[in-house]
Amino acid sequence: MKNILKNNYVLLFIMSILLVACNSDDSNEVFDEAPANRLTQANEELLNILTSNTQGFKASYFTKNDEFGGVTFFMRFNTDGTVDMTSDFDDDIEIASSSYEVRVGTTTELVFTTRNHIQKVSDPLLGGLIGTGFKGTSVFQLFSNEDGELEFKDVRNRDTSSFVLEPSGFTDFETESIEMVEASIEQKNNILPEVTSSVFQVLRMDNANGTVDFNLNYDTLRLFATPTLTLDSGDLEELSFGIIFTDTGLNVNPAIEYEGESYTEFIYDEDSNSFISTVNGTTATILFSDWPAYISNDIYEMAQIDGGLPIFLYRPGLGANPLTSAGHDNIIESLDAFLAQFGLSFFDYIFFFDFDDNGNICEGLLRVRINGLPSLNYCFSGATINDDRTFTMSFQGAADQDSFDLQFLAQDIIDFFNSSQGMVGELEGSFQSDTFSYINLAVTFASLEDPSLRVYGLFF
Amino acid sequence: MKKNIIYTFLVFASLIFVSCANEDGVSTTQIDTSAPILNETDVWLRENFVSPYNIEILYKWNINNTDIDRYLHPPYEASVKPAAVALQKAWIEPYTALGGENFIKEIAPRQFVFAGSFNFNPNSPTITLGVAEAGTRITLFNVDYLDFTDINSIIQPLKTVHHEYGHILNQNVPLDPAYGQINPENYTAQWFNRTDEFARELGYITAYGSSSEGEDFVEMVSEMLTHSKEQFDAIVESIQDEEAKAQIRLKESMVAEYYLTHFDIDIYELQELTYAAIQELVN
Repeated sequence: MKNILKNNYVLLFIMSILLVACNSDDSNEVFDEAPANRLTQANEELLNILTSNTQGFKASYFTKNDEFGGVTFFMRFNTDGTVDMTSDFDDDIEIASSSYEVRVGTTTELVFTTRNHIQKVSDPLLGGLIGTGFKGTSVFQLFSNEDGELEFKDVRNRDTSSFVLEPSGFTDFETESIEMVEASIEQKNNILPEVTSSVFQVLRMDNANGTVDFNLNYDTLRLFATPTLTLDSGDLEELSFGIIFTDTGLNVNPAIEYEGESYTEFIYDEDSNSFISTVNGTTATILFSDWPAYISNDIYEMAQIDGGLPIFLYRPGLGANPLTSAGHDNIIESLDAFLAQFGLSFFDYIFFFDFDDNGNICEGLLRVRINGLPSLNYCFSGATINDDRTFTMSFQGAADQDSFDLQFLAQDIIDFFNSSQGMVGELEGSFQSDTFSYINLAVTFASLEDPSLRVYGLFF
Repeated sequence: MKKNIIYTFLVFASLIFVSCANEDGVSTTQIDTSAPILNETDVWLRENFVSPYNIEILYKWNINNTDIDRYLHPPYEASVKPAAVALQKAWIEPYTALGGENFIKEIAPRQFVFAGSFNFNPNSPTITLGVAEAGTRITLFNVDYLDFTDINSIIQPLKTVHHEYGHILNQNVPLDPAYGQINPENYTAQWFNRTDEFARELGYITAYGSSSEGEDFVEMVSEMLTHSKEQFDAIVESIQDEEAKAQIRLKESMVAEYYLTHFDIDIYELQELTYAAIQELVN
């Protein structure tokens, strides 16, 4: 019995020693502070940076750089939890105040908690982008802080979004932020075609290997460009980037990578009405060119339609399509304004093509129809397709006395088709306007004599 | 014996050593307990919703309060109080007047979420006006687009609240299964292909009401509580199909019985109060 007791004591003693031996293991302290403290510190650090810049920040926000361009904001974060901001998203640039918070989410987050300019990019009522807007957010995760430049991400678009804050450098936030936004909006307008602008907007790459033009294909709604270079083989080389406007021009994101160089920042040149990026003696230029980047083979297909006698219709009542240029719209609007004085109005015009030019009179015919007047008919030669895939026709005169007497009404339309340097015709799939969609083949015709003129219509 | 004493001493000494090892004092909490910044709207909401009813109105954006895959945004701060007043006048006060002071305190969602934007449903020609989650939270969308000069604009969110509150009442007292047997044959998930007028000719008060019996019941509630009795009667009497008209009248009587039996509320009195409040909001 004694031995049993004795053995138990020994066992208890050994167990106690073991317990002590296991107790209070030393561990390597990776962090000095507890996680909760470190999170609080991270929040405080961000909050201090935001509020200590009393003249605010410039914010560049790309919601998804594979779908949309960017928006510039100017923001001033106040210690009372409010943020004042303006933006170049639209013409409403008044500085507005709202709430913000720095929170712990998946990481340190900057949250714009009530509505302001920043929510314009997540507005699902945005015309043309119903349901999504620019696919933006109000919640941003802090990603990096380098040299005072704070980069945030949207967790939903982690790979394609960027929200970058950099100190504004202003001395007067109220005045200078508005001036910068106005300058940025002016640059946004500079890339848009005017009545006299060529419809051939291109991205021109110029380096030691020569000059190459890409069709810019700029989407004004999305602020996004998908420049294409079409090779004679039919292969396409395509670029894509979002555009954010600055007070001096524009920046692209992602950068344009072309033949070993990278282009990001473009400066606007007022004299040439173009945006130019210069890198190591090479240039990338966004400009309105007198000649398209590429003329397709479509004209040969067009020449086969209806046995070489396709009939083209342009009628404003069928709705608008952005491929009809402002210059062409101007011709029709001016004519309509003139006719309105007499209770008349423009209805449509029809061009009867003949791609088998036999040298006869009136192989081609332009018919202009005005409500309240007889049809006006004008003779053209047959259409000749040139080696460069342009085509040419020549005006021969009015087809009848009424048309002769009223030719001044149709003169601008006659001049459009009578382009001395030829025309470019491109097939555009089935007809679509902002009002109607038809299965009819759609087509554009552009003048090379006056490249501000292009019309979108249909064959019937 | 002496040895036993020594062993005993050693064991207790070891235990004392263990129990004393690595002792930490109680320190302050590591959780951030600093008071949040409250603006005027926050203070008003605390005084008018949190304190009296334990209902929180969440209008400051938290992406987790709504569907993260939808493109939504918070409301303007200026939109919040008018929308909250509408809830107060046309929902809380009428129910309190008839159901008693504690009615809303005891049966109510504990949170409202206000979103400023419309909530478009992907791949569908519809928008979601509101969402009720487990009887604890109601989310109202397009708060920024309420027009307090247009009664139809105000009715829309209130209809959503009465609709969702109907669901919450049903979670407390289930509706009579006989309700779903009145005309179950035309319930459909493609309700959005019907107009309200067409649905009424089938015996449902709205197109959405023709989606299921649960929605049918709360659509009846919300239609009754956002129209005057005369307006509601006019809607029902405009139905051409007599059988459909009779079905809706039967549903109306079951809704009234449900309110009276389970909550001692005459829904027609409630209807008078809610409609008067709506008119006051617009005026």
